[in-house]
Order: sequence, then structure tokens, then C-alpha cells
Amino acid sequence: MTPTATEPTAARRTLTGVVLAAILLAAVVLQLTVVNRLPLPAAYPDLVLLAVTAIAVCTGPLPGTLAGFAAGLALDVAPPASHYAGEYALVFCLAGYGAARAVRAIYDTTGERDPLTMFTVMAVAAAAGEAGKAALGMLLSQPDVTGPAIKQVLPAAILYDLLLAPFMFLLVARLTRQADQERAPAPEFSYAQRLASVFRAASYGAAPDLRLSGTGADYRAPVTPRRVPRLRLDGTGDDHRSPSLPRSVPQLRLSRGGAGSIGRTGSAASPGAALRPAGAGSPSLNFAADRPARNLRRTARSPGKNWLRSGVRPPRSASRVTPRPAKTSAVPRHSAFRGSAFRGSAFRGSAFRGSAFRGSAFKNGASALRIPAYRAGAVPRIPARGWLRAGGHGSAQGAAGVAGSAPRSGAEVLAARSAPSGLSALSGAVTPLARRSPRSGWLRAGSPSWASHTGPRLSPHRGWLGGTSRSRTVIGSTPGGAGGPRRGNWYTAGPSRDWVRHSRHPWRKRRQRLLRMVGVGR
Amino acid sequence: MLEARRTRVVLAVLLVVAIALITIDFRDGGDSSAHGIGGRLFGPVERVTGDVTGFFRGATSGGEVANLQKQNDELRAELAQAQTSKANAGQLAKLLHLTGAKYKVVTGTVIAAGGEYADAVTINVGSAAGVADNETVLNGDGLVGTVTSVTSSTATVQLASDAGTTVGIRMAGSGQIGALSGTASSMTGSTALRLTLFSAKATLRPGQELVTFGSVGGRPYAPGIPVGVVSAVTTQPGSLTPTGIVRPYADFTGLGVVGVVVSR
Repeated sequence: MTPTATEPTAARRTLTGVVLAAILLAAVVLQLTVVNRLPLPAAYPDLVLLAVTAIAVCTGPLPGTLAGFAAGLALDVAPPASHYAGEYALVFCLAGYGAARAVRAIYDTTGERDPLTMFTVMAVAAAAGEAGKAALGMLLSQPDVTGPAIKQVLPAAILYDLLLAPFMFLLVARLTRQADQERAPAPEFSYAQRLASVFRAASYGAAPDLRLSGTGADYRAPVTPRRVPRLRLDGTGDDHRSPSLPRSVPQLRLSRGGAGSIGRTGSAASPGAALRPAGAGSPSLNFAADRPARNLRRTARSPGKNWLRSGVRPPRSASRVTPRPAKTSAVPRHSAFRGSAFRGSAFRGSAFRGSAFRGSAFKNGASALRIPAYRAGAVPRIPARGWLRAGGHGSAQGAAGVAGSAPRSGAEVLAARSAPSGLSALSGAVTPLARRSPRSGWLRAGSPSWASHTGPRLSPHRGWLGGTSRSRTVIGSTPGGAGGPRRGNWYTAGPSRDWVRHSRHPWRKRRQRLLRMVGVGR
Repeated sequence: MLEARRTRVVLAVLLVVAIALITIDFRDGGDSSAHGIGGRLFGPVERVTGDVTGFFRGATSGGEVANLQKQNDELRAELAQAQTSKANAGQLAKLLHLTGAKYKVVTGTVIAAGGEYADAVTINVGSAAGVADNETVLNGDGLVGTVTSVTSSTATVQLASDAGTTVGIRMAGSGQIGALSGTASSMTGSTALRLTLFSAKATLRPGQELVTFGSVGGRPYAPGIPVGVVSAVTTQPGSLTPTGIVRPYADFTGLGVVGVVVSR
């Protein structure tokens, strides 16, 4: 069942399956022809139930379920049966499944899989099966199954089952263990194993890929991710099976904010964003250059404050901006940006801002800012635009441009509506809804594709005004892949619970510390 | 997780199938075609196994003991018929439309038995030997039960001790009639049948013997077959008639060779 390197051959498994099926058939026939005719007082042992539970605990849930159903159905329809067809199939099916699940759960939590535990589970399941037979018969109001009869039969039946259970368990365990032993050799260091199991239980969920050196994986069935309890780091979204790389990814990435990349700088830094719905996530990293143009709205509303407006952003050719988190965040942006903003306001006089202005605006902005991070880029962006003006682009750019002269355009109305209430004054100017190109999804708000595109724009307060004081790297997110965790920002339709959880979850620190200790992270 | 999910799906499907089977069988009164299919599948297997185990029991159908038991069964059936015809042959014949033909007994061996909650056995004769549904089964001691289902090579007998069985009986001496019903789990030790007489004035005392009253055409119960003896009489408060506890003649837990009264 577990895909391991030393998996038993198909022939071997088939042989085991055939032998188990033969055991079941033999149990059914012997039960009917021999056991039920023994002159035993009060009850008879149920060989079939014992065989089913033994197979279940020795193999797994699926074989246990199938074996239970098949054997129970055989007992239901084999000639002397006078109960309703399907009764024992139901009960044995549940008994087999329950027994196998119990064994697996015990194994998952403790890592132990010793025969005594398995036998205990089997005995309990057999007793439960006997009780289930009686209960179902009573439920169906069979004349033979009455209260006094159950009181007489049930204890005796369980007693007989317990007496016979070891033999059946040894038989089935021997058969299946042979198949198991082909999987991996038995270990020699029992202490190390035990330590490994303890270690696994202790550190479980924290660092799924850690193993105590030298102990190796579990000998019988190496810990596949399925075996490990699916305790997920809260908020990480992905599971331990694919330990997410982003833990060691640089915390800020100014590179093109492709789908799913962490620390996206938003559409302002992504050249193709105008064509993609990813533009919705533009304010994910709050560099000054990426600031949405909150002055657009202000301009539209109160033309008197036009001076805050800057020029239209230049056509960017930069495809990537080198990630320089520390320096970028250290930019004394306000003063520099404001300078450019004033300069941009000079252009505001004319209602029409052509592309001719863009060049100069761009040039001036570049000279005004001496930021290493921007220098590294092929074409630096103008901080002025970022700070006071949204990086509106594409069709939204047009809408923003129109908004300057013709207040309350359609896009702006949309923006105003979709902006969060607390931020409408400042940030309502260009919201993702207004900014995205309409064809790519402004009608399907909160669609998964969009949500997965949106960067870790987490809280409005920190995101909008707090600059880069806080790292927006999302632990556990997967860089550059649509398979990454889907996480909405506060623009998405529903309130995202993700950021609340993973931002302050206690596991985060612990996991980071553990990973750092081992050298995985960083 | 994929495997767990698949297992859950399989489990759900199997449970639904099982519940559907129960429902269908419940609707058909426990006589759906599933039992027929199961009988055809498992009948031969049980027959072979029963022969093998019967060999160790010394009760193979070709053995000397079996022959004697078969003779005994036939004699028992003849005796029941003779007694019946001698007692009040005319009335009964008119009442029950008895044919008056001689009973034919087909003997078989028990090859399988039901569990704790089912007083039923399987015998190794079936429709190929002339056995049909609702035919009386007896052995050398007395009444055993009635045939409930038949395959070509096996037949399932519902014992008289089954809680779902009710046999019409007649008191051997007084001729009072009553109903004899099985009690649950009588196969597992406390073999006791409950007798209720129809007449309130009838006297019931321990030691009285019971024979079958008989059914129309001898099916499911041929008349005059001894059933058991009253071992105790209890009068339940609020009941008009006394209730007797009957100890059957036949030993239901140790059935070997039985005879089926074939009424052809």
C-alpha cells in the first residue's frame, strides 16, 4: 500500500491477496459446516469476523473494508442463513474499516506498530462486531434476536472470539508479515527506533523533514507524508509534504510579480501586469514606488489639491528589479517623492498629459532619487509616481487619466465602491477593481486565479501606510507557481483569515527557529 | 490522503450496497434472490465440506448408521400416518384434504448450521431429490422443522425451535389443539418451546405429549408427528389459557440424518 522503494512485488502482493481471500472463504465454510455444529453452550465463535478483523489490522483500511464486506456477504447468502442479506456485510465492513483505521491512527500518533497493539485492536473490533451483529438483528426485529437471547449469547460469543483470536491473528500476521518483510529489513537498533518515534512525535508538524540522524525512517513503512498526521502549520496553507521553499526565499522580491511569487511588488513592477488580472494585487509590497495613486481620487474630488498629482508614469521597460529589501526600505522616500510630486504637479496644469511629459517626468524622477535598488534595474522607476500616484497602467491607466479631468468615471466609481471604507479617503483612488483590465476578471471578484495572484498584501494599516517596516514574506507560500497557497488580500471578496493566522501563529517562530537550527532556512 | 479518501469512498459505497441489500431482503421477507444465488454458490462447497466432516463424524450417507437412521425416519413417518388415520381419519381427511397417500421420505444429512441467532440447518438433499419448499422435516425422534428454501443440491430447514416458527399441535390424549412456538436461541442450550392452547377450558399438565396437528396437504407440517412433551405449566397473569413449556423430542443441536416428508 505504501509506495516505498522496496515495495513488494506485484506477484507477491497478488499472492498474499489470494491467500487472504482463501482464508476468508475457508473461514466462511468452516464456520457454517463445523463451528456452528459444535455442541458449544450458548454461542459459537465467529471465525469470519476474526479473519476480517485480523486482515484489517494486518493490512490496511481498504483491504479490511473489502474483506469485511465480501466475507459478510458470503455469510449472508450462504445457505443456512436466515437473516436478511446484507446484515453481516454491513457490520463486518464497518468492523474491518474501524479496526484498520484504529491501527493506522495509533501508528500515526505514536509510531508504534507492535503486534500486541494490533491484536488488542483486533480483539476490540471483533467484540464490537459481535455486538453489531446483535444490534442490527435487533434493529431489524428478527424474531431470534431478542433481549434475553442477546444477553445469553453475546458474552459467550465474545469470550469464544477472544479465545480464538490469537490463532487467527498469528495466522494472518504471519502471512502478511512475509509480504511486509520484503519491503525492508527489520532494524537492529531498537533504541534508535524508539527515539525516532519519540522525536517524530515531539517535532511533528514543526519540521516535517527532520529526522534524527542515524535512525533513519521507520523501518517497516518509511514515513511517507501520508503517514504523518496532517497537522498543518496553521496558516501556511500547504502541507508538509512539499516543504515549502519560501522559507528561505528572500523576503522581498521586487522581481516581476508573477503568479504566486512571494513578496510581490505588485503590478507596478511587473511589466505584463496590465494584461493580467494580477494587477489587482498591486499594492502588495509597499514600496514608495508602488504606491497606488491615492491622489487621483483626491484630484477628482477636490481639484484644488492638484498639486499632489504627479505625472503619468512612463512606459516601463524594466522587467525585473533587483530585490534589495534592506535598502529599498531604507529609502528616505517621503522627501524625495514629494519633490517629484511637486514637480509632477507642474504638469498638472494642462488637462492633457501626453506621453511627452512622461519622458521628462521619468527623467527627473530618476535623478531625484538615488536609490541603489532602482539603479540596479534596467530602467528605474519614478518614485514620485509610486508615492503619490498609482502605478496605474493598461486600461486602468487610461481610466485614471480620464479621472483626472473627468471626475467620477466609471472605473473610479467602481473603485470608490470597492474600496474599504476605512481607507476610502486615501486609498480609494485606484483599487484593484479599477485597475485591472476588465476582461481579465473585474467581473469575477474573488475568483481563485485572482486570489492566488494577489500578493501578501495583508493588513491595510501596515500595508498602506507602514511602508516596508514589516516583512511581507509569507511563510509557506510557494514561489512562482500556481500551486502555491491561495491567499487573498483584503481586496478579495471574503475576509481573508489567512493572514491573521499565519502572521502571528506561535508555530511560525518555532518552525523558523527549528529550521534555522538545522540550516534549512536561510 | 489519497488512499484514505479512496477508502472512505469505497466504504461508503459498500455500506450503501449493504443497506440496499437489507432493504430488498426485508421487503421480500427474507427471501430475496440473493439467498438463491448464495445457495447456488455455496451449496456445493458446503456439501463437499459436509461430506468430509461427516466422514469424521461417521455419519456419511452411505454408512450403516445412516441407513438405519433413514429406516427409522421412514418408520416414524409411517407410524404418524397410521396413528392419524386410526384416530379420526375421516374428520381429518375431510378437514385437511389429506390425500391418504403414503408418505415418501427423502433422507438427508445436515451439512451446515446457522449461527447463534438462527435456528436453521442445511441438508444435502435438494430439489434434485424431490425436496420442495414447506415440507416437513423429521428425524427418528420427532419433528425437526420445515423446509424454507431449496437449491438443486441443498435445502435449508427452519427448525421448530426457531423463534419465527409456529407449529399447530394437538395434545396426544385429549385432542386439544394449540400453537407451539420456538423461543430465541433455543439452539444454543435452552431448548424450550412455548405451548399455548386455544381452549380456555383445556387442562394442561406436565407429561402430556404433543403431535403435529397437520396442515392442508401436509405442508408445511404433516399431521401426527410427535413433537415433544410438556415439561412445565405456567399460568401467566392476565392470560386466559395456561402456557406450557415443551421439551422437544428431537435434539436440535445434534442433528445428523433427517428425513423430508415429500408429498407428491
